[in-house]
Order: sequence, then structure tokens, then C-alpha cells
Amino acid sequence: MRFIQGLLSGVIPAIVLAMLAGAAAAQSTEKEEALLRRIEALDQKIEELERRLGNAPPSPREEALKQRVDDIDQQVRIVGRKQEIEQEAAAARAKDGPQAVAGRDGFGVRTADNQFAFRLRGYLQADARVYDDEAQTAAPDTFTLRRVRPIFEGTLFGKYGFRFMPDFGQGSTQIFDAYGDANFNPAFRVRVGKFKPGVGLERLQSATALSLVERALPTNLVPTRDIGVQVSGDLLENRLTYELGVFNGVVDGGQATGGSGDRDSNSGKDAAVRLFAHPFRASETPWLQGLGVGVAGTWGEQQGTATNAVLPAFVTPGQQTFFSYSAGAFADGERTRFAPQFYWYWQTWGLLGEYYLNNQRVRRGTSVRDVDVTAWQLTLNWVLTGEDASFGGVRPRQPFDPAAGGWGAFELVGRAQQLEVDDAAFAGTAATRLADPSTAARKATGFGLGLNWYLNRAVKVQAAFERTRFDGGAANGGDRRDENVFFTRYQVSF
Amino acid sequence: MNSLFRTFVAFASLALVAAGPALGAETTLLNVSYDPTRELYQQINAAFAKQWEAKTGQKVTIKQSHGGSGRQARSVIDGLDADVVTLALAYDIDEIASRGKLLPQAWQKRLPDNSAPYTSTIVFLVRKGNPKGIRDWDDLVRKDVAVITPNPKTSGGARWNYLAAWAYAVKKFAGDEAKVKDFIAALYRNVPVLDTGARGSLTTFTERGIGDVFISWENEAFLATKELGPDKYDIVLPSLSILAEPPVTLVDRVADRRGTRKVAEAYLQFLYTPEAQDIIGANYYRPRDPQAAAKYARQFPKLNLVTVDGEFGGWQKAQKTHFLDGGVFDQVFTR
Repeated sequence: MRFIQGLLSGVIPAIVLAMLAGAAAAQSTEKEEALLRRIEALDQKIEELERRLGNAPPSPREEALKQRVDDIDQQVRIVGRKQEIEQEAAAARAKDGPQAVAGRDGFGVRTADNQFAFRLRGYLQADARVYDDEAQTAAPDTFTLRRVRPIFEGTLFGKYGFRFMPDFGQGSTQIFDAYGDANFNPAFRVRVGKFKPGVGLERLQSATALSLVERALPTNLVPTRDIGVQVSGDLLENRLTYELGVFNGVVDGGQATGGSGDRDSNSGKDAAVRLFAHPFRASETPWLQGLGVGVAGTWGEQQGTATNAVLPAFVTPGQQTFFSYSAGAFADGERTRFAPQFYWYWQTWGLLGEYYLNNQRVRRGTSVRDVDVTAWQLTLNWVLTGEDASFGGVRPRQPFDPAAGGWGAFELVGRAQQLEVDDAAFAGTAATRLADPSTAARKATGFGLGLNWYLNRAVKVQAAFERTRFDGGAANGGDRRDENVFFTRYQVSF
Repeated sequence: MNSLFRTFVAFASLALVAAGPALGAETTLLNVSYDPTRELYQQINAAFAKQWEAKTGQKVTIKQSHGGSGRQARSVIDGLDADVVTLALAYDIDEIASRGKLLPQAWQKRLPDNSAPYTSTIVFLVRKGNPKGIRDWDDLVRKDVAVITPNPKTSGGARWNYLAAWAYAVKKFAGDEAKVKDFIAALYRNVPVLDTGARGSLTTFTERGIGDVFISWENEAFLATKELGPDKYDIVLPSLSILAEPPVTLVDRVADRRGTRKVAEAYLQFLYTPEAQDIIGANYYRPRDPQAAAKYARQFPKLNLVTVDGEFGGWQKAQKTHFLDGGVFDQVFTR
């Protein structure tokens, strides 16, 4: 085909021009006429050839060539598409494979489907406590590492989890959390091991989210941690949470029953129940959405001995003991705790309240009495910088970064609180009374003020002042001196 | 103690009562579906949400997940929280019932028409002018024809394709299984790219320009000609195809756990309403409702269709024979 086209476009016109040139040279009319006739004939032949070429079917060679080009084009496309599919599959595999994670919720690895995960989290609280001179407590002004807690958490097969959290703070090592979870569904979860039983509201709040540096007096009356088994769940579209468990039955405010470490010292066990409702969580009335009300209680029998009392001591916000039972007194049977509680958060405001009543049968020699201890507290939070107050703490809108105009979040906190021990504890003679009124105060009443600075979601600085007054607790029927303590805390959590 | 206990019970009761008020909240559903239904369910979801809010005052958002039907079923078994599944074939939902234990085995009897609110079939999509002269399944085994179809291991649509071809070959070779297998093997030798789902195969055929014929869901073929231009593709109707009945059902355990049973059931029942059936017809699926079927009858040519139950003894048997590991497809498809 190319040969013929070349012939038409190049060779034949060249021949014609050459012939014309020859004719001019001959200067012969006859010859010119003959040449013109030949040119006309050649033109006709060219036109005929062009017409033929225009309608001619492609030759077999051309067909094969075109087919070859089409095949190569398809092969290239197929290879490209296969690569594309392989890349998509590789991306899917990468998405499904293990992923390293690092962020505000800690560090760890997990599978893409979150069926398996391991997280390293933790927090550190470095405190300073300054007591006023009037208190004349045995406690010195001090810096202290209040809590140093690495947290190891994991998820196995999607539904099962574990948590291990030791504490290295205050010069000792203890296991605070060591439990396994089975999350069968949101309405039915099982937890086994050592953890916070569902009783005290402020106790259930994370130590990193506390409004003031120390928890309030009512927390003296509920377990810190206990070993046992608990079922829990969220019902009614998350408007009601229940927790129901059986535990060793630690002393008030403690995490042991008086035995060594985590070992139980007696066969008595506590049943614990808590119901907590957010009745207006889905309401269209915004100021009611953050209201939570609940009640908790424990029942059990705890049996101590003269040398292993299984009885609590109560401490002030400055962590000084202001009430303890006399030597020789011990738990002798039934113990109940009753703990109504609420919180309410709306925009920048928060209010948390607890009223706890404990009843403990105590024996000292032949004297056996049921001793009631009551405690209440009310804590008011106000976030000055406009972020939402919440049970889980404040999330600053802008982290502290003066160069960028960010100052974090500031929160003001005020609290009133009281703990009162029933007169039955002090009745009787020096030989029979359960507590010594010259060393154990009947009542502690206090208030606290605090300022919290959230530099970002990981770093928090707190300053607080707590004043506590006492009824009793001093010689000759006098009152223990007031405790005035100023705290600061630097907290890092991740 | 007794008074303490009574007080506790009183407070506990109060808490229960306080949690009682059923205040309206926005609900979300997840519909896990197969590949080509994206556009269909976008329209269905919008219509249902509007109807549900008008009826109950409750806002509902339906999220969609699409992929190869088999793969989608495995995702649900592995924990994808589907309130409802709307898959390409009943076997995939059977798997969710038997392996995942997420719904009863008799799920297919819960809704009319074997829980399939619409039907479809399998046709050929060819390039404009049908340059390879493809008329029937026989043309798909010619050496000069490249066929595009997804992988039956992962795609429900691909299994319909495969079974339609098998049914044709059975008829052509009067049930001679060796010849039927050879026919199927020859067909799959002509498949240069096996995508995991029908939408991927559509991309291969249309956007990447690979192949001469795409064995396609009927609705997908119509959609391609409508969306990509009638000047680019033609639809060829084979002499025999298969009646595809994509089923739908509630995933009971997920819906109960999420408290969405009521709205999820209403969503599935909505598929049978005249409003939804009209949307189904408009999206080139064959409606069950006689009025909608009559309205869209002109766009659906009459075809000689076999059924899985009639030709293959049901999906369980078809799956076991052809698609499980070591089945006929594995035997004939060797690369």
C-alpha cells in the first residue's frame, strides 16, 4: 500500500514534470500535443488508481498488523488492570493487617478490624502538699509522687479485654487493676479480677479527671478496689447502666480486707449493686441531657479479729487519719453501704453530689454495736474558658501554645463536704468504747477551692486549697485542730 | 438494715423509672449489600427515611456498605454490624445464618417472594456495533473473544453468570457433563481479568476498555448504557439466562443488640411497597409488584430463564458442587 501511495504522490508527478521539461526543449507543437495527450492519459490513470486505493479493502498483511496492534493494546490494558487490582488488594491487605497507633489514647498495635489490640497507657501525678502550722500534723510539707501508673490494656477476639495497672506512687508498689473483661454485648458484660466495684461515684471517676487534687470525704466509705466478679450493662438505649457483683469485701476506703496484700482474711463476701440512669440523655432539652442519677449499695458480713480488725480508718483531704477504731475493736458481722449519687453537666457547669451511709457491726471485748457513718459532698465546676464540663474532665479547645494564641482550658472548682461517725462508736468506757474520742474525731466538715489548668488533653496542672474542721478528736473533749492544706499537682496522662 | 434495704430498693426503682421515658432519638441502620445496588439503595433509603419520620417522628439514617456478595457475607459473619443484609443470592445469607448464627435458618420465609423484593437476570454488554458479532453463549468460548466477569468465589453476580452459562451448556450438550465442563473451562480461559465484584468488572470493561463482552447484571448493563452513553455499548440477550432473586433479611442478633429491630423490619417491608417497587423498576431491577412490573415491562425483554432451584437443586447444592474449594469452578479454572 505504501509503495503504491509513494508511486502516486512522488514518482509519477516527477515523470510528468520531466516529460514537460523535455517537451519545452523540443519546441515542437506536434510533440507538445502528443505530450499533453499522454499527460491527460496519465492523469486519468492516477485518478483511477486513487479511486481504486480509496475503496480497496485492507490487505491480509494490514489486517494482521491491525489485529496485532489491537492485541498488544489489550495486553497492555490487561496488565495495567491486573496491577490496579493487585494494588487494591494490597491496600486492602495493608488495611487489614496490624497497625501501629500512637495518639492521645496511648500507644499500641491493633489489627485493622480491632479484633486484637494492645495499648500502653499511663499517668503520673507529682504533687506538692503544704500544711499550715496550726494543723500541727505529723505530716511534713512534701513533694510526693501521688500516682505513677503504667496501664497495659488489650483486646482479644473483639469481645475480650484485659487491663493491668500497677501503682508505684508514694514509695510502694501495688496492683490497682488486674482484670479481664468479656463484652458479650452492651447489655451484658462480665469483669473478673481486681478493679473498682460499682459503688462510689467519685471513686469511679478516673484519678486523672478529679476536680480537686484529692477525692472528697464520702470516698472514705466505699471500696477503692476489690477482687471479685461483676456483670454490667447498658439498657434502655444507654439510659440505664447496671452493675452487679460479688467481692471479697474490702474495708471502707480500702482495697484489702485486712489480710496481706490482695489475699482475703475471712470468708465473708460483699454483694454490690449499682444503678445509674441518664433519663434525659436523648431529650431535646439540652440542659437536662447531662443529668445522671443513681444509687448503689453493698451487703455482706465481714469478720475480723482482735489482731486483724477488718475496720477502716478515715482520712482528711490532706491524707491524714482523723478517725480510727481503738485497738482491739474489729468487724463482727453485717456491713451495709448505701450510696445515692448524682451528677449534672451542662455546658461549662458541672455539679456532683454524693450521700453515703455505712453501717458496720463492730465488737470490742463484750461490747458489740452497729456503727453508722454518713458522709456527703457537693462539688461545683465551672470551666472559665468555655469548654464543656464533664465527668471525664475538660478537653481544651486550644492547647497551650502562646505563640499560636492558645492557653488551654481553665476550670474553677468549689466543694463542700462532711463525714460523721455515729455516737455509738464513742459510747462506753475506755475499756469498751469502739473509738477513742480523744484521738478519733466524730465529724469532719470541710470546703475546698481549686483551679485547674488543662494545657492539653495530656497535661493538667492543679492548685487547690482544702480546709477541714473537726468535732472531737482531741484530748479532754476538745476538737482536733483544723487542717488547712494547699496542694499543687502536675499530671501527665496518655 | 431492713430500712436501709427498703430505701435502696426505693432508690433503685426510682432510677429505673427515671430511665424509662422513651425519648425520641436518631437511629442509624447499616444495610450491607452487594456491588451494583449503590444507586438503588441511595434512593430507597431516602424514601424510607422520609416515610419513617412522617410515620413515627423518628429520624433514621441508613448507611450502605457494598462489595462482592460473598465477601460482604463474610464481613457480617466476622462482625460487621449489619442491621439488614441485601445480598446477591440466598446462599450468602444462609452462611450468615449457619456460620454466623446471626439470624434464623428459616429467614427466607419471613418476607414475601422468598424475601426477594425484586428479580434480575444476566445479559451481555458488548461494544457499540457488536464488532465481534456476539449473539449467544457459544460466542463467549471463541478464541477471539475476551470475556469480562468477576470471580465467583467472591461475587454473587459472578455465580449467577457462571450458572447461566452452565445451564446453557447443559442444554446444548444434552447434559454431557464432560462437554459442559469443557465449555465452562473454555469460557473462563477467555477471561483475562477476574475482579472481586461486579462493579469492578464493569470498570474493567467500560473505563479500562478491556474485553469484548461483559457478562452483566441486567440492571448494570442498562445503567452502563444509560450513564456511559448509548453510543458506546449494546446489550445482547442470550438465548437462555437465569432468574436472579437477590434476597433481603434482618440480621436479628445485630438488630436486637442495637435496638433497631422495629425500624429495620419496617425498612425491609418498605421494599415491597408501591413506592419502593417503583424505585426498583426505575433502577432497572424487575419489580415484584404487578403495577410497577407493568409500568416498566417495556424495558425488560422477555427471556428464557432457568432457576437455581429448578436447574441446580437450590443454592446449597449449587454452591457445594460448583463454588466451594475443590468444586467444579476450581477444577476448570486453572491459570
